[in-house]
Amino acid sequence: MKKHFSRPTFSRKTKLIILIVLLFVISVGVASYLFAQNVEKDARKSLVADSDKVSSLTSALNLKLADTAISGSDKISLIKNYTADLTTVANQLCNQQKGHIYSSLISTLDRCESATAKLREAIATSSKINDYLVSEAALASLIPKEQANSTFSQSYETWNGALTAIEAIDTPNELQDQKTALVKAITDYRDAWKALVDADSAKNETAFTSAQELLLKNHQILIDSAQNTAIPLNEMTTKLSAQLHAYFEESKAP
Amino acid sequence: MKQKRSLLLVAGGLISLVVSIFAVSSVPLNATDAPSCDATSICNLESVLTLKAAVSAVPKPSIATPDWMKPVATFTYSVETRGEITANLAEFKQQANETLNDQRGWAALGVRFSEVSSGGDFTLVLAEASWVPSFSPSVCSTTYSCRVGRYVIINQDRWLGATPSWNNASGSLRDYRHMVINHETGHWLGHDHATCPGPGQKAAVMQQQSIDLQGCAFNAWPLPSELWTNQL
Repeated sequence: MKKHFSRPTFSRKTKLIILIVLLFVISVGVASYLFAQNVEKDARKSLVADSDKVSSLTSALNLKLADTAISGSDKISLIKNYTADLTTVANQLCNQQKGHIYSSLISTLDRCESATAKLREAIATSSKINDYLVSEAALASLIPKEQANSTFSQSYETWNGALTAIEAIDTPNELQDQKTALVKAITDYRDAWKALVDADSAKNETAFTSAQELLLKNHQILIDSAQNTAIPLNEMTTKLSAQLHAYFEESKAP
Repeated sequence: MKQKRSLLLVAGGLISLVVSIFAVSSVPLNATDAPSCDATSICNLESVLTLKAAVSAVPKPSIATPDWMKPVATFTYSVETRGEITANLAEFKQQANETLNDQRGWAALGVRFSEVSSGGDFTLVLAEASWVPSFSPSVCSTTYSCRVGRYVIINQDRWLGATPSWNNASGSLRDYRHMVINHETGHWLGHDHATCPGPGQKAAVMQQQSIDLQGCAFNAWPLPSELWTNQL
């Protein structure tokens, strides 16, 4: 017996329903596409706006850093605030778009992620610069300002105390070389004071004269050590500059 | 021919220009150069650095001379010679001055000894041995050094060779010279001869160590008990 297959036949009502569903699906698709495009546009705008914000934060910081009326410690606070502001920008970057129902349709989100990552690298460097400056200032504050008319013992105690305090300061890696050189120079300077104290108490003129010569020599070495030790700040700011530049390129790419 | 040369010159100039522009534009920026001050970098940070300035501000220590180093008085002396001098006179002058101003010696009284070209408070004489008795035959001999009035006389033989007892005990010539200068100057400062304070102890500098140690150990410098003078 031959079996016949026949095409399914739809009633007019069914066809109408299918048509309506198709039209609905197409409309939803088109609407979603248009909406996603809109969100995409917003995401791009947001990226550009945020990078403009980072630009203006950087420019404002530079203006204040150039202001001689602002103290060094205030400038360090400004860098700390700048780092915090960049963090806020990074945390908010494309947030609205990221949580959107059409996020998977928005291609700009990849750039958002990339820009955020680049900005976070810049934030890490800015934070390192801030840590460096804070520790540098802390070391500087411990350098004794010698008082006139101090006895030899008082001078020795002053430098001995400063050395202990400086050694106790926890410095970031970038400052380690400077700290090591400083500790060495201060140790020698302090020891020269000790030699002078000992020669004075022994009333030994020969020892006193050589201790005096050693003290002057080690004082000069101390001054020279500060002048000659490399400061890695330029390296860090150059790195930050490159990272900010990469972030801006990512944010403003067409 | 002239036109050709001009064309060649112009072409050469153009090539040089292009090469120069290319060379300048292809020079890479030094990675350690500080970033330019714009919105893409932080600059002027050097002004925040304070460590270098703080260290540079440490003043050069100005050491006041302690009281114990300030001389109570300065004795001046001149140096003369008698007879034929074979010793190095410049060395004699230098070593005598070092001894006199050494804090282990009479300088510990707080006095300074300063050589002057003539006159002075006393006269230090380096004399050929045969000339020594000429200062006072009853006090001085050709063998040892002595002091007569303002004259502190060092016997050249002793200056050059110390004494057998000193040398036998392996005493150094420099220490003998310290001892003899201190001993004879000690007389001028008002000291008479002293005796050994006790067997095995350091000899007094005013003891006649060149002759007899009396059981004491050689010592070139005044004992604390000898640190006085009636010249002040």
